[in-house]
Amino acid sequence: MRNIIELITEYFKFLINEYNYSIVSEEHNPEVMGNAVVILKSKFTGVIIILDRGQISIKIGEASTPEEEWFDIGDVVKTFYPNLPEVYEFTTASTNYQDYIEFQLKKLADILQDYCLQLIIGDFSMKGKIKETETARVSKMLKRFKNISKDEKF
Amino acid sequence: MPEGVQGWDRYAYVNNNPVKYNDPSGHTYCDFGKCHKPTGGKTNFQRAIEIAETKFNEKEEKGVTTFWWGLDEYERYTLEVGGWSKGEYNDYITTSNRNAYLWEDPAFYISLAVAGGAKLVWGLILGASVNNNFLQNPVNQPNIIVLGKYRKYLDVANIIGGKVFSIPADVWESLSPAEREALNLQFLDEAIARGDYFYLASKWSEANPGSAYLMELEYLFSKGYTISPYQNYLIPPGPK
Repeated sequence: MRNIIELITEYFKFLINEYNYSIVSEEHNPEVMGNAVVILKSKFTGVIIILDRGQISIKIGEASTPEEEWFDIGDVVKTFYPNLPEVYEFTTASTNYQDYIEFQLKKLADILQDYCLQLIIGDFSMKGKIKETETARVSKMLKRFKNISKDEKF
Repeated sequence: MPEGVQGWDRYAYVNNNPVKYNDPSGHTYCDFGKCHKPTGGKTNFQRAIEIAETKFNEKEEKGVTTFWWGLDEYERYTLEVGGWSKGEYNDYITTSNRNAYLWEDPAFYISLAVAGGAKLVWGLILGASVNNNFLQNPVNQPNIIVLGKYRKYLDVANIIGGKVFSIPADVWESLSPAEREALNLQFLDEAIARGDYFYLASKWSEANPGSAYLMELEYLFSKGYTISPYQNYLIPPGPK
C-alpha cells in the first residue's frame, strides 16, 4: 500500500493550498495495523485525520483548544445539514485495502470542504449548536448500548 | 516505611526495621491496630494470612475487593511484617476464588493522570504498580486490555503496561474485512476467557459508526459488559 501519510496529505492538500493550513504532526505505525494520525492547523482551526484499523475519522476544532474538545465532522455536518446521510457510511465494491482507504479519504475530504467550510475558515459561532448535536448523539448511543446489554444480541 | 514508625517500641525486636528484619520465629505479630504476644504458636505468616482474610472480608462486605495497591500504607506495612510480598498477596486475592474485582479502580486514577499535567510521573508510578500487580505475576493473572481510538489506546497501554489488539500493517492489509473483524473479536474472546479487564482509553462516545472501536464496545455489551460509573472501564457481567 502507498504511504498513508502521503495519501492523507494528497486528499487534504486543499487545506494547505487554499486555507493556509500546515501539517503540525504526522505519525504512521506499521506495527499496529498501519494506523496513522495527521494533524493540520491554520491560525484558527485544527483538523485531525485518524486512520484506525482501516477506518478514517476526522475531528475539527479551534486550534487553541485541546484536540479532545474538537468536534467530529459527523456532528458538524448533522448540525449544518441535518438531512444528509451518515458521514461514516462507506459503500464500495472494492475489497482492496488501499482502494477502501482512498474511497474514505475522498469522501471525507469532499465533506469537509463542502459542508464544514465555516469551521475551516475559523468561524466557530455555531459551536454551541454542534455541542447540542453531539449531546443528542451520545444520548442515543448510550440508549443503544443499554439495549444491546439487555438483549445480548450481536 | 510509614512516617513515625521508627520510634515505635513494637518493632524494637527487629531493630526498628521489620521489613528488613522480619521476626522469623513468629513470636510477635502485629495487626492493623496493635502488636501482640504469641498466641497458639502462630507464625507471622499465618497471622498475616488471617489479617489479609479479615481485611478482604471487611472490604468484600462493602462491595470492595482490594489488591495490594488498594491497601493503605499501614496495611501494606503490616502485611510486609507478616512476610507477605506484593505478589504473594495479590496471588492470594486472585486465587482465593472470590471473584476478585477492581472496584477500587486504578484505571480511574490513570485517566486522571493522563488528563492532568503529571502524566509522566503518575504514569511511571501507576504503570509500575499495575505491571507488578497484574501483568508480571503468574500467567493466570488477568491483563488490562486497552480499547479506544488510535492513538489514545496505544499511549495509555504504554503507560500502564496494558495490552492492545495489534497486527502488523502488511498482514492486516492483506486480510478481507471479515477476517479483520473476526481477528479483532477473537482477541476480545480470548481476553474475556482470561478474565481480563477492559479499560477505555477514549470516551465511548468517540466511537464512530462503522469503527472497530464501536464494534468492540457493542460486542462486549452483547456479552453482558456494562460501562463503569466513571465511564473508563467495563464492568464484567455478574453471576447469573
